[in-house]
Amino acid sequence: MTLPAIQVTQLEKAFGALQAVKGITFEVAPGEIFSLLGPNGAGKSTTISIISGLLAPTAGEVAIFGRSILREPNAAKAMLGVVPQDIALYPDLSARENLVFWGKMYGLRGAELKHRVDEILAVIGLTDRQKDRVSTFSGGMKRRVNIGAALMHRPSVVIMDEPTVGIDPQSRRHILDNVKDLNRQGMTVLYTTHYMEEAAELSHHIAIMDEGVIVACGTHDELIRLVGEQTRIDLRLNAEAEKVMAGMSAVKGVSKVTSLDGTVTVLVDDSNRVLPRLFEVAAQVSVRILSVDIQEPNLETVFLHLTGRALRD
Amino acid sequence: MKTFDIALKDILQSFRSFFLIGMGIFAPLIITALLFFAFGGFAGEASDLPVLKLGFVNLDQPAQGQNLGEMIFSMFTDESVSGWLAAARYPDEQAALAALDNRELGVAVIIPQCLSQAALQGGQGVVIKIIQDPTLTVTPSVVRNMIQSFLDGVYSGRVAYELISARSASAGLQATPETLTAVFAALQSWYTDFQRSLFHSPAAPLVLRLPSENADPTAGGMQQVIRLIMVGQMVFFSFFTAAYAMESILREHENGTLARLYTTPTPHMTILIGKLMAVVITVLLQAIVLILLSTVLFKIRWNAIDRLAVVVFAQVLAASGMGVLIISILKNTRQAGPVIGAGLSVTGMAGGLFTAANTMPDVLTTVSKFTPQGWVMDAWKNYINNGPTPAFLQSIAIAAAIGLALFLAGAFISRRRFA
Repeated sequence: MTLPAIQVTQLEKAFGALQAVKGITFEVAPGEIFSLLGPNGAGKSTTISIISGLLAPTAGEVAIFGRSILREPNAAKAMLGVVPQDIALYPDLSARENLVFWGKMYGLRGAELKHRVDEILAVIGLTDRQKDRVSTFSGGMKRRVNIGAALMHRPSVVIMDEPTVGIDPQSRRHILDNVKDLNRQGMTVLYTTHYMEEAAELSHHIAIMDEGVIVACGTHDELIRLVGEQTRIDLRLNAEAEKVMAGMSAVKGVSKVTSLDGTVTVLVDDSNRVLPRLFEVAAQVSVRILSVDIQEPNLETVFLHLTGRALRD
Repeated sequence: MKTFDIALKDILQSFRSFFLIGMGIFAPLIITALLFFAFGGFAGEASDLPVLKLGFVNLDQPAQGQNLGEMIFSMFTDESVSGWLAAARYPDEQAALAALDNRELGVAVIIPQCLSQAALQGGQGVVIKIIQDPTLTVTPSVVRNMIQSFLDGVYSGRVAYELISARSASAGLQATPETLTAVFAALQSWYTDFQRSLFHSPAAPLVLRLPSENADPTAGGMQQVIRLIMVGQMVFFSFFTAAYAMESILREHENGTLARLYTTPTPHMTILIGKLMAVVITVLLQAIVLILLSTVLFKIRWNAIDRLAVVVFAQVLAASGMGVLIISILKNTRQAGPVIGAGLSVTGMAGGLFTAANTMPDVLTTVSKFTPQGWVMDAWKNYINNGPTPAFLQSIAIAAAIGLALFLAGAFISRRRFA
């Protein structure tokens, strides 16, 4: 029987009165990319921190290829490569010195260490800048070193906590391609993001988290099927959304209505049939619809369907 | 092995920090250099004190016996005062005063014609003129005191001679050279006791306190002062260096690298020990660099390597202990700057690190005993003055014990916070 790469069982974490993670359970199979998708504050980073051995859970268990992160932390951590959300490097050291140091922390020495540093520098495309201090690098270059440091020891499992936050599209593309390459090399990847496009593009399985719980878990297609054929319609109004929400909720074929920043989001079964009715409701309360955006079912729709809130709330 | 890797990384970062290099190496050297120049450094040992040029006019013409004017002149040309006093004869008072006006002299001493007769045989009072450059203060006073002391001895000797002669004559005895010698020896002893009583002090009435009676005889006064200044600065900034080096744990905490370290298969205690080791090594390297550079720049002679090693060890332990404890109780790097600056400046000053003298006011001496810096400085002074071994070891032991206690307390708190 193949052991799961990551096995999370009834995991809980409380910070005082705040219950950040509320008894979640999931498994990540070896060789897959598994994404934790959810808005900020959903509990993704807390979950990642516990899996990485950085935080102790209030209850529950985490095992990496059968090794408990609580009882055999060093054995479990030796199989993990963790890419933190923020750049966690030494700015006064060069790219090479950073990689050497992190390699040593994972037990690499001598010729093996040197060889691996050269390899990683080539992978992250910084061979030419290896002697420059990290403080002189751009944000994207720092991100690449940040990832490289986690790959030094050829980990079985790579954990990436929102690695694309706050970077330019080019670096983002580079990182996403890196993730796919790592996976092709056989590494298991646990990836957290609040960008549904990233989760959709990368993942074999996705767990959607909200308020400390996993509200849905499955492949991309499985999750989409949760909302059936529902279409999402975003309406931008010239007035307060509250004026139309009650009326739109009462329209036949509408399953959910939410609002954010003057935009009303409506989940409907058949957009062609329902959309005229929505215009009528708006006209009845003298509200003008300034724009209409119709989207086919996606992870955003799933999240809205399951939680009643938009993913980027 | 990982402990050394972490320590090495921290040390590398520290020595790439302009702030640490500035505070740890350049600041103590610059301050010492400024004081070194202020004291006339690079001019050689002869300039430990400014040389006083003395013009001597001896008009004394005794009818017979000793010429006291000549005896005073020989006192001024004695080898023991040649380092700060250069006496030259002048034919008359006008010539000496002219030289004084031209600032060729700092002080002129005019011995009157009948000094010997008046002093040895009694008679009318005579006046020795001592005329000085008004801008000079200390050394002309010493000249005056030397003459006064000489004359006190002469007069008391004469009184004693007259007394013995009178008593012997009334008793029908003849004073012989042997009896007179014995009587003068007794008189000298009595005079010393009398002066001690006069000054209400168990110590001798006039003692020229050298930096230490046991101090390195090859080290001149300038050497002593500069060594004390250098040592004071080295101790002062070693405490800053230790605190700054330990501050790296706060920086790593804030930058996320500490958390990242915890995700590696490295025990938390290994990480903490590595960081503590970096502090100790950094402070040790700083001390070694400063000692070497001060040898080159200020020609300071650091003798007795075994004692030097021990006192550096005590300094490193005390500074590291203080640094580790301070950082362990701070929340973040924003707090670190003002707390380290104020705390170490106050305790450094209270510890007497800015007092370039072997003896300090009693109050400061007492206060310094309540600071680690004070005990480290005490150990250094014992080293410089080649103090007795028990006193040296006592100050070393106390400084090291305080350092160790602070280090353990800081390490304990850090372990609870970071490990």
